Amino acid sequence: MTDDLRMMPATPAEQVQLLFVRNEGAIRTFVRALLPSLTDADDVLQETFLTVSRKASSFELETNFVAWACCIARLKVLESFRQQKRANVLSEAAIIALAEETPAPELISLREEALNRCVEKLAPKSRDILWRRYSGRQGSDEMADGLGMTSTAVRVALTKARAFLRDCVSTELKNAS
Amino acid sequence: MKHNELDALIEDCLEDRLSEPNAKKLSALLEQSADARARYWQTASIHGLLEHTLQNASMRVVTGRSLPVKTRSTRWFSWRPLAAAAAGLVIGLFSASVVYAYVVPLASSIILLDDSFEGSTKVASKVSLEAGVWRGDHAEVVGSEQDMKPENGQRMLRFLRADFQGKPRAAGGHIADVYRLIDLREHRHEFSNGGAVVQASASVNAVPFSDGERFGCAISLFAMDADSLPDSTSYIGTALENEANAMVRSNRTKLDRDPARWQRLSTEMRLPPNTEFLVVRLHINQLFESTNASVFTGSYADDVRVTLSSRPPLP
Repeated sequence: MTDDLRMMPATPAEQVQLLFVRNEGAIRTFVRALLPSLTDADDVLQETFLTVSRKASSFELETNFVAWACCIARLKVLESFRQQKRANVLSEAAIIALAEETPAPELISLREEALNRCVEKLAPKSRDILWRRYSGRQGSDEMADGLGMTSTAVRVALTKARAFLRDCVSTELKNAS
Repeated sequence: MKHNELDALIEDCLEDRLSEPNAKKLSALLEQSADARARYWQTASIHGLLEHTLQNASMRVVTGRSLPVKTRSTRWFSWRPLAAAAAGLVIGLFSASVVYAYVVPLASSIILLDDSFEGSTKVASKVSLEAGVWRGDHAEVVGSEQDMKPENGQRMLRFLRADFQGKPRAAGGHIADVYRLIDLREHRHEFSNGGAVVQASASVNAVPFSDGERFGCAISLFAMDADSLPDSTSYIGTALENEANAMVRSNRTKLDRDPARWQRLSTEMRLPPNTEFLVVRLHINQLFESTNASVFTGSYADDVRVTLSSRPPLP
């Protein structure tokens, strides 16, 4: 979807809010890739939305909204890491390096389309595990209880399912090109 | 470093279980290696997309089929009050790809559907309705073709035939319909007092057609509850008209012969308080019969928008 401005609200804040919603998929993917905890990522997404709204007047329409929003989101991710004061997370330099090579929104869209097809190819059990992890937001222990598996087995199955999807998406994109 | 080792580190990172030494190791790799960063994005973008992809897949299940696990509301639905108050708004995202809710109390409106067919590749040609996808007669999502450019974005919907796969007596039809089911149950509080109006609009266009042909287009809305939704054994159009709690259709717009000009259809309907689902129908009707009546050579739709707005209940 293009950032069609014809039907947009009048104020800069309303305009960037609508742009944010329209591009939320790419921004969310960016944040979650850098900040894997879904809950923390949701918080950062909210903070990003609020900052984008506050800084609306500094955004120039017709320029790349996603790039602008992701710059703000990157700062929010780094802020989140600093607040957590954890040592077992990616370094700021790694985050910055990753952010500089963020896939373009068009590529994210292509990956999402491919992912839709690849999810259909998953075995039901793998799909169930992914559903529990992402939509149910269950931890490995909770999933293990629900599935009658060990936590280790759940982790292995989750890793395999994601690896399958990664490879499947790569193959689909190669075939498409 | 081999992919296996890097993949294991990325997996641990995505599961938030990196040890401190491994966090340093992965960080160093990502700082130094473009290949490592590319590999990271390959996996991490899947991680970022999966929640909505899975929810979209489940939205295809209409009523009567339970989901494997009850979905927890995302944090988008539970904004911290101070933050929301500071922004003066609340925003909720239901499904990011094509159907989402956008709530701005100041404007008192929710965007239920804003579809330029950018994320779609085809229209499912079956008789049963599914949330989140277009259903109906033979149609496909295309890019620019036949000197026709999309109204919005890079793609548009093309009506192909006035019948669907498996339809008995396919020949002789003159009306092509596509339907989109929208689940309104998340928003029932918005119209439980009868004070809500749905507005729908869409753009339509056609390549030049012969003097002997004429085409009319319309957009319709049907307010449904779960019990009255058509099942796979019924004709959608007939069932909707028989079972809807309320329905409305726009003026029929006759297509002109100017492909450079998209024509806009629009209509609105007050929602009955018991509404659970909304069905949007786009249709094109060949007004004069021809020998090849069920085939449409170049009729298109694009930029479909549906909003829910508050309006005081009628006295």
